[in-house]
Amino acid sequence: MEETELMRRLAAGDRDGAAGALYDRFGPRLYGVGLRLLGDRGLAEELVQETFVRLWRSAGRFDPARGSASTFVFTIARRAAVDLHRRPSSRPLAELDERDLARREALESGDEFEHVVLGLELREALDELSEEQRSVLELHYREDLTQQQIAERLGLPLGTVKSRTLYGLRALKAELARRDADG
Amino acid sequence: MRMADGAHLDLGGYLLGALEPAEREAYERHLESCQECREELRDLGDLAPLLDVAFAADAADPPPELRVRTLAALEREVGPDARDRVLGLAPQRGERRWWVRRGGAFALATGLAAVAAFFVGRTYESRERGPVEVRAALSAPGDPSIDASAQVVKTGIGRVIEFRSEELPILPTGEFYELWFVGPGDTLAEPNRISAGTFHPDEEGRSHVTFAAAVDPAKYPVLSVTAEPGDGDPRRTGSEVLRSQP
Repeated sequence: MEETELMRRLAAGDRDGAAGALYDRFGPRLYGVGLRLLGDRGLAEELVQETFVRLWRSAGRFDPARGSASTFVFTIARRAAVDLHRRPSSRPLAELDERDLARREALESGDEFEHVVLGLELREALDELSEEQRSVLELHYREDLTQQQIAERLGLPLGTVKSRTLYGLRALKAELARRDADG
Repeated sequence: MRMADGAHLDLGGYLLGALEPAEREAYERHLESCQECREELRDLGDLAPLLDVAFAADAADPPPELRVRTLAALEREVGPDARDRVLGLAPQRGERRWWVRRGGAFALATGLAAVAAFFVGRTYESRERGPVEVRAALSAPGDPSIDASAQVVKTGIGRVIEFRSEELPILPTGEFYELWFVGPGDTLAEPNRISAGTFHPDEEGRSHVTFAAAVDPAKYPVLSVTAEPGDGDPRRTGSEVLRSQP
């Protein structure tokens, strides 16, 4: 079902169906954003819950003419994340260490927040690649292998690794564009 | 159609930094004379830093019970305010526009009456408190100064666990407490436990938290609180700070 339709149903009070479907679409990415930008699992879980409570309250204000459901959800999430990070009990130590400061800057800078959201969307888009394309990207990112080393590891001609890498990147770009158009 | 043979194929490896030094130098020479590669490099260029995030986040799947807890949090929201919102008694500016755009007055009235009936029913159900199934005192092994209480209450939507402690120390940044239902035979190597949720004490050291639980305490009779590192591992890895007697 289209995300716009799910938002409409949520606004109409469909807590179980629409909220559940929206959780399945956005929950894992919200959790990932929380882990990355708030720094721990507890706060990441709170971010997911707080975002959905705020989404539930404000779903009636969603206007698809002004932006996608995804943009609406992550705008709410960014505000919720900033509030959670500012809450005194989220930072039990009185002194802010450098990591805290970096997190605060990342949260309050919309660009950095969006970068993390897009990165996590790309993670979902990786599932759309063929196993062959995904594996060459994984071997580079997880084990820091060059294409030559990947070819040796997989017993493939170097040209095959190179073409899988390039075609994989193109497919990812196309998948992001498709999601953008659908959102 | 894009070219994808010969030197062009190195575009992907160049973008990711996955070429050998000699390949990289050769490709940079190729780039100087290939406008098509330069354009595609610009087109795909934002993928590399995003892939850093994508692969770094690979261990970040939320715990399965978070879905239940999130939907339960919405259930708690279905109170008088939500009912007013749906009835249109206290509409926000955007909400009024939304309703008006999508239906005539009659449809609006009948539709809202049906939705309101749904909410009234749900609200009554969600506030129905059944018996206290478990009432437990939790104590800290080796530290009598710390204790806590918890009770599990049956409600219309399942179970709610209410946990209170005044003494839990505030943890270092990044760590948090986690409340567990523990079943028989639970060990670190072979866990038999279900997380009820995570929490922090407030700035005064009070931990008064309520979780929506989807666990039968008859099967998981012991309550335990651990101090967990914020390492993204959903299993119990931290030390136990409180435990109830079975």
